[in-house]
Parts: sequence; C-alpha cells; structure tokens
Amino acid sequence: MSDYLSVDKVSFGYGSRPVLREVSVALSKGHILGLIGPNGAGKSTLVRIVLGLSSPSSGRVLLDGKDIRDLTPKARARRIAYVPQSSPLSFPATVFETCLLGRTPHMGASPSANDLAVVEELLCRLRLEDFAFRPMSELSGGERQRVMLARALAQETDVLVLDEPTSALDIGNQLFTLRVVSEIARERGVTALVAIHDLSLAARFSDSLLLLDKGVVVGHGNWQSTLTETTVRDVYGVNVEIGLLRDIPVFAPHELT
Amino acid sequence: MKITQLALWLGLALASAIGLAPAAAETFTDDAGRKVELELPIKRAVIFNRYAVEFARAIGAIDKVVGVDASTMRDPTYWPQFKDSDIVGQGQTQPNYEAIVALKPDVVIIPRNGVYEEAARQLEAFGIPVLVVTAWDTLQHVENVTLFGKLFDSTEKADALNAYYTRYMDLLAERLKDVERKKVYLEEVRDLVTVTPGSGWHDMIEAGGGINVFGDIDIKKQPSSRGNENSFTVDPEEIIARKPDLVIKLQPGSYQTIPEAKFADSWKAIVAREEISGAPVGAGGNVRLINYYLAGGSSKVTGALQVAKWLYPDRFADIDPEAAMKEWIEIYQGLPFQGGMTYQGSASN
Amino acid sequence: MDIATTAGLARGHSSGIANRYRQAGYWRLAIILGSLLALVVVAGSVAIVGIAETGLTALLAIVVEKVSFGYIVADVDPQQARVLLHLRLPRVVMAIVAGGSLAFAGVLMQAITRNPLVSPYTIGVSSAAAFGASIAIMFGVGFSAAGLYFVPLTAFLFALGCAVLVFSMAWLRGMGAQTMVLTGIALMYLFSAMTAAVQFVATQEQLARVVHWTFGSLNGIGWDAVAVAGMALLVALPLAQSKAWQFNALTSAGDDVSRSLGINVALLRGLAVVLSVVVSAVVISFTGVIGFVGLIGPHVARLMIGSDHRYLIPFSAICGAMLLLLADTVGRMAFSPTVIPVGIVVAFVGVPLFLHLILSRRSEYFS
Ligand SMILES: Nc1ncnc2c1ncn2[C@@H]1O[C@H](COP(=O)(O)OP(=O)(O)OP(=O)(O)O)[C@@H](O)[C@H]1O
Ligand SMILES: [Mg+2]
Repeated sequence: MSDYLSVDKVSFGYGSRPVLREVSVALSKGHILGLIGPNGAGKSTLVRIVLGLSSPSSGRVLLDGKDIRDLTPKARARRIAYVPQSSPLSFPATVFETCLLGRTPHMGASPSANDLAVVEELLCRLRLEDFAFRPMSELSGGERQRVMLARALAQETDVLVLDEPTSALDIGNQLFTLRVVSEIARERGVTALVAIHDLSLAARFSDSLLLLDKGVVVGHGNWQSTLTETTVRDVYGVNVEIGLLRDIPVFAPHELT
Repeated sequence: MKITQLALWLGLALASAIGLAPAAAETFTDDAGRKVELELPIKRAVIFNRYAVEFARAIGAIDKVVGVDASTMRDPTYWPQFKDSDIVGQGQTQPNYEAIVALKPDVVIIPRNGVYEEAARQLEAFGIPVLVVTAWDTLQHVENVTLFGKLFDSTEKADALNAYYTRYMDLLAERLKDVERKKVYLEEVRDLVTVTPGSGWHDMIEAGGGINVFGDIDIKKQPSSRGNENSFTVDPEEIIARKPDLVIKLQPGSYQTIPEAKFADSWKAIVAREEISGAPVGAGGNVRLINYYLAGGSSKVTGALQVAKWLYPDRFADIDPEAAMKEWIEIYQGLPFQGGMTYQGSASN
Repeated sequence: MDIATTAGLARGHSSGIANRYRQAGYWRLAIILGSLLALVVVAGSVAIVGIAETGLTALLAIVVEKVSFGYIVADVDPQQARVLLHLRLPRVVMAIVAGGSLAFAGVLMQAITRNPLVSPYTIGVSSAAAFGASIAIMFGVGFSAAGLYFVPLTAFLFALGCAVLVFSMAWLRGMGAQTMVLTGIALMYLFSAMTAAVQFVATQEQLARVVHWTFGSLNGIGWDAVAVAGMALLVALPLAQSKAWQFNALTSAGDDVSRSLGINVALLRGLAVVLSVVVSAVVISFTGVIGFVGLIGPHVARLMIGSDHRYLIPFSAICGAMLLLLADTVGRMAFSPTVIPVGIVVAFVGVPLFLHLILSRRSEYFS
C-alpha cells in the first residue's frame, strides 16, 4: 500500500532551539495515527507543519506524493482539516455558524443548500443539534471542543489533523467522539493524525502510534510495541502498569520515577 | 386695451430700472485678502463678533443688523435691540447657515478667526456675500470703522467715532511722550495668569504708558504648558522679582456696574496674597481692579486712559476716564452709564 | 482498533436546524432592508425640519428632479429649494456617509483584531488626522484654491501613518489585541497633546481652524465632501462584503484555523486595514474628529443581528449612519440656532458605552 501522507525527515526549531529532529512517518490512506508524547515533545509543532501553518527548517511533508507547500491554500484546505489544541473566543458566533465555517474551502461567498445539509447532519451525528443556535461563548469547554471537531469534519477532507480533540471531554464523550471520528474515517477513507494524551484512547482508536520525545521519534508501530512499561517510564518519567480490561488497554500510573 | 398694454410696458420698464440698476456695487478687499462685491448701502447685515456689532451700533446702524452670534448676545441687557430669534449660531466657528439664510441678509460680516471660507461656500448659492472684518484687531480700528461707515451709509457717524477714538489715542501718545514708564502686572480673572505681547490687554497697558512686566516674554519660545499670550501662567516669585509698580486685576463683568461688595471681595482676595502684599506694590496699595468690558473694541481706549491716569496722575489730572467711558456707552452705545468700572480698596490692611 | 459503532444514534435524522439557519438569514436580510428603509424615512424627516419652513413635497420634488437629471422639473419655491439642496441635504447625506464609514471601519478593525474596543477613534487614527490637519493649518501653504484640499490631505496622511504604525507594531511584535488598543489610546493622547501644543503657537485665525478640527462637525459640509467620502465608502463596502465570510472565519475561529480553511489571513488583514483606514480617514479629514461611532455602530449591530459579517458589515454601516444622523439632528435642533458639533453629541452616547464594554466583558477583551 502506497503512502498517502508522509512526513519526510522534518526538522524544526524556534530560534536556535530545535523542537523537531528528523521526524519521519508515513501513513497509508485511511490510516489513523496516534501522536503521543509528553508536554513539549513537539506534537503540536509537527501538526502545524503537516498543515503547512509552519514551514520545517528541513524536510518536507508529502500528500499523495506532492509537497503540501506546493498546494494552493484553498486546495490544501479541501484536503486537510484541522482542530487546534485551543481556540480563541472573541465574537460569539453560534454553533451552527462556527460549524459552517468548515465549508469555506468548498463554497463561494455564501454557503449552499448542500453546505447547510452537511453541517446539519454532522451536528446531529455529534449530538450537537440542541446547541445549534447557542453562541459559542455560552458553551462549556467540552461542548466547544466538539463543535470545533464538527467544523473540521464539515470540511470533508481526506486528511484530518486533530490536536488533542478530546482533552476537555468527559469519558463518555471522549469515547463517543473518537468513535464518530473513526467511523467517519472508515466510511470515507480518511487519513488521520491525532495528537492525544490519553494513552488508553490512543491505543484503542489508532491504527498505529508515533511516540515523540524532545522532538525525536522514540517509538513507532502498534500500541503493544510502542507503549511498553519501559518506554513509558523513560519518556513520561512514570512507572505504569499496563493491562487489558475486556480487551481494552489500560495504563495505570503508580509511581513517579 | 392699448392703455393697459402701455401701463404694462411702463411697469416692466420701471421694475427693471429698479431691479437692474445697482444701487452702488462696489468691490472691497477684505481682511482675508478676498475681493467681495457688495451693493451699497447695506440694509440687512448678519454680524459675528461683539466688537463689530458695537461698531454698527456706534455709527447708528444697529437697525440694519438683523442677526448676531450667541457670544455677542451673552449679555442680553447690553443688546436690547436683539431677541433670541436673531441669533445665528454660537460664534464665528459654528454659524447656523439656515438661520442666516432665513434672515435674507445683504452681507455676512465675520472676523478672520471665523470659518469665512466655509461660510462663503455655503452661502454662495443664496447670493449672500461674506465679508471678513476683524473688529477685535485694534490696530485696524480706524480702518474698520471707516469701512462700516461706508457699508451702512453712515460716514459722518463713523468719522465721529474715529475722532473720539483718535482724540484719546493722540492725547495718550502726546502726554506719555517722554515719561519714565512704570511697570504693570496685569492679572486675568484666574489667579497667576497674565498676558504677553500679542494680547489686547498688553496693548492697553502699553497704550496707557505702562510696561507689562511680562512684556519680554516671547510666547513662541515658552513651553506650551504655560499657556498662550492671552493666558500665560506665572510663578508668584516671578511677580515679586519683576517689581511691578501697579497691579491690575481683571473682573468678569459687562457694561453694567459690578456690585461694590463683589469688588470688595475680589480686592480682599488679591491683597491677601503673599506675592502681592509682601511686595512693595501691595504694601503701597497700588492694586486696582478693572472690569473686563473695558478691553474690547473702542472701549479699549478708555481702559488705556484709566491705566495712564493710575500710573501718572499728575499728567492726567484734567482727564476723567469715567467721562470717556460714559461717552462711549451713552453716546455711542445708547445705554445708560452706571459707572463703577474700576475699583481701588483702602490701602490699609 | 476500536470497532464499536455510533451509527444509528443520530444518523440521517433531520432536525430542521438547517432550515432554521436559513430562516434566520432571511430574517436578518429583512432587518437590513427594514433598517435601510427606516434610514431613508428618518433622513427624509430630519431633512425637512429646521429653521426654514420646508415640506416633504418640496423635498421629494427636488430629489426627483435631481435623480431624473433635471428632466422632471421641481415646482418648488426657489429659496426652499436652495435651503434643501445646499444646506440640509449635503449635511443629512454626509451624516449617513460619515456614520456609515466610521462604523464600517470599526467593524473591519474589530474583525481583524477580534476586539470590540478597537475603532478608528480608539487606535488613535482620528486624533492623528486632527493633528495632521492642525500641522497643515499652522505650517501649510496658504489657503489658495490649490490648497483647498491640502488640509484634508495632510489629515488623511497622518491618519494612515498612525494606523500603519499601530497595526505594524501589532504584527511585527506579535502583540495581542489589547496591547494594540492600549498603544492606540496612548497615541490618541499623544496626538491630542501635540494638537493642543500646536494651538499655543497658533494665531487667532489658525487657532479657530485647529479647534474646529478637534471636535467633528457636519456644519458647513458641502457636496464635494459628500462625493469624495461617498465614493470611498461605495468602493470599500462591496470589497469588504465580498470577504465577509473570511471575516467570519477570522473572528470566530482564529488565525491558524482560518489559514487551514484556505484563507490568506495576511492579505485579508492588509485589505481590511487599508479599507478601514482610508474610509475613516477620508471622513475625518472633512468633518474633524468624530469618536465612538466606530465603536457603537458595530456593537449595536452585533447585538441585533449577530456576528455573521455578511449581515454585520452592511448593518453596522446602517447603524452608524442612523446614529450619526440622529446625533447631528439633535445637535442641530436641540439648542437651535446654536449648533452643537456632532462629535460632542456622539460622545455623550459613546463614552458610557465604551466604559460599559470595558467593565462588562473585561476578561475577554482585556485578558
Ligand atoms: N511559539 C513558540 N516559540 C518558542 N517556542 C515554542 C513555541 N511554541 C512551542 N514552543 C516550544 O516548542 C516545544 C514543542 O512544543 P509543542 O507545542 O509542539 O509541544 P506539544 O508536544 O504539543 O506539547 P503539549 O502536550 O503540551 O501540547 C516546547 O518546548 C515549546 O516550549
Ligand atoms: Mg500541543
């Protein structure tokens, strides 16, 4: 299977401080990659580079064989959607309006009937229909995060780049939301890059994991090989017990090293 | 039939003769250097600036003035000729053009610190000319009064006013020729605020034979925080250091008498101040109060007379400034003179 | 890999929210059309009140005459016609154009900074224009016919310079919106102080002109000013309107997401700065400083119509126009025949609102 999205020896630094060092990873179409690593490991930085929001100091990101920086902004927006780690809140648009922004790369000056239909279906699917006309400023953090995901899904791209899309969600909604994402990914053959802190969810919903530490790839593969008690201890500085409960990977941290 | 036709023709001819023959169209170059053509004499004028309206009244043309600004009308008792509906705006920077147009004037007279360009533009469509006359500029006093005489066809009265003005100005110049000039500190209504060259009050002191103790100040070289030529902030110590022979304090007021009690209060306040009472000028009782009214237009000459008499009583023994003021107010302004324009408290403290 | 499914939970079930959204759109369109109509009605009614006796029929006849290029001749008393044509109408139309322009500029500036405290006035553009004007008055080349536009032009250049300074500082130094507002307020004070300083060395006649500039007034506005300012707005409004959706993204999703949506954020910002500064500076250069309209217009509009810029941009302009029209009518009529400059009237509404904005939403706008 050919690589659909590949990160090729990407390095990046803020000023003289290196943040990413020769990171490479390749995803085939429809693949969900979980991006894990401690705070400051460079996950968000990598995500921004994949999106073309930052340019790597060396290396490149290829989408279907083409450097993403060679795509026009609009063409790129039709193929890669993004949910940032956090979003500013200034002028309170409603949930529906916010979600409709996802249709921007597909529309002219105003949304079409199809655009509205897409948003309506997505909001329903994410169980946000009751919030549709509430201003974003009056939502809880978790509700807002789900709207941002709905917005990215409304973009109907074949690549999703999600930076901690479930960090503010309760356990029920975490599960629900990631299920919707993986379902949609499967239905549409969407390739996804998901930065996520919850190791259990990462292991459960990803086809493979990429473990970053201080800007360097320290593990890549299925969860069993990437997240061992040794790697977790070395990277996160915590002793964990890893087990399976009803086939679900569970990581129980018990002592700092 | 024939007769009616003839009458019609005659009527038309007459009408055109009246309408077309300009009474006397004359071109003036105004204070802003603009050429303005006016049909004389002026029968309806709108005038901005109080001094200009005073000129009109002084030459007997006040009935030709149909509109004035609100600043002029600040003291309605001074202007029994006008009512509120004659007001055409707050002052020379905010004319109410509709109010002007409604009065159908032959000319609008506005000083050069007014918005004359805007006014000319706005009134052009209505055929109302705008003439710039700066009555507050005392250097142009004679010239301005002569112009008003011409405009309102009242040259004799204008000459009389000029004669009144120049008589006293010449008299002052004559008697002050070789005098050793004394020093005057003039204080605005606000404490520790004085005037510098460029101000009309400064001119009045000089015309009265005094030396403004702050007359050496070049306002352009001063920090702007100290104010402008009309209100320049001073330090009390500077007043003492400049050793004035006379202190003149301005009092807010109009042509009417300032009540004795009010004068007395102001007097007490000023002589109680250390920089006044502690200096020779205060100790010697050389402090005077003067009504603000005496600064403007023609009345400024009476202010100068008073200053001269205070400074050099011997040389002006036969001159009565009060009489000059009375003449200005009664003869030229047609209002009863009530006196009490100045005040001097008892020197004892 | 998790293989459970959420299917069937909410799939394919139509809730009618798209319809509701569509209807809200129609409703907003109706508000805009209604308010536009109201603006015309109010403009017509205030145009016929004043010192001189004028009637609606006279006004309509004149408008018809002018609109038909003199083909349909108005049968109106010539004096009445002149009052309407040369004194009232330019003033009424300028109130609409100036209010519309300032609010329009405000809404764009607020969009690109995501801060409702930003407006031509609060980032110092207005004071800069006034300072530019006073410099031109003080040291300018006479007041000949060639110099007729010298003062507005200098005012315009200073306004532009100030805006470029504030915005470029904001971008280059990566400042937040609140830093920008504070910089603007500091500049506003600086320019006001410099204008005041200039006044001290002014002659009487220069002083009158400078003071005239420091509070905005529509007294004595002519058709030439209306034409220039009107053209600027007519060019800028459709240009901004064509980017309305992009402004939506920028305000409610932020820079990164906007870029990920394919929007050239830098270009959008640049366009918004140019349009808003040009439009507001042109107005200020004719009228003098009129504050707060650029703040109140967008604020009121947002409360009434929401934050979708497709509706917000035109509706802000309408709100600003209405506000300035009413304020100028109050200034014109309240103490007639004394005319109160509209800048003063507006401040009475604007200052309390500004304080309210700061106090009520402090955490969001000034965090
Ligand atoms: N704008 C910036 N300027 C300088 N350094 C930055 C900037 N943004 C991030 N960094 C640094 O780059 C490194 C990687 O940051 P990044 O945001 O990619 O981490 P992350 O893996 O997403 O962390 P987290 O789990 O906390 O989100 C960190 O050390 C961070 O301090
Ligand atoms: Mg991160």
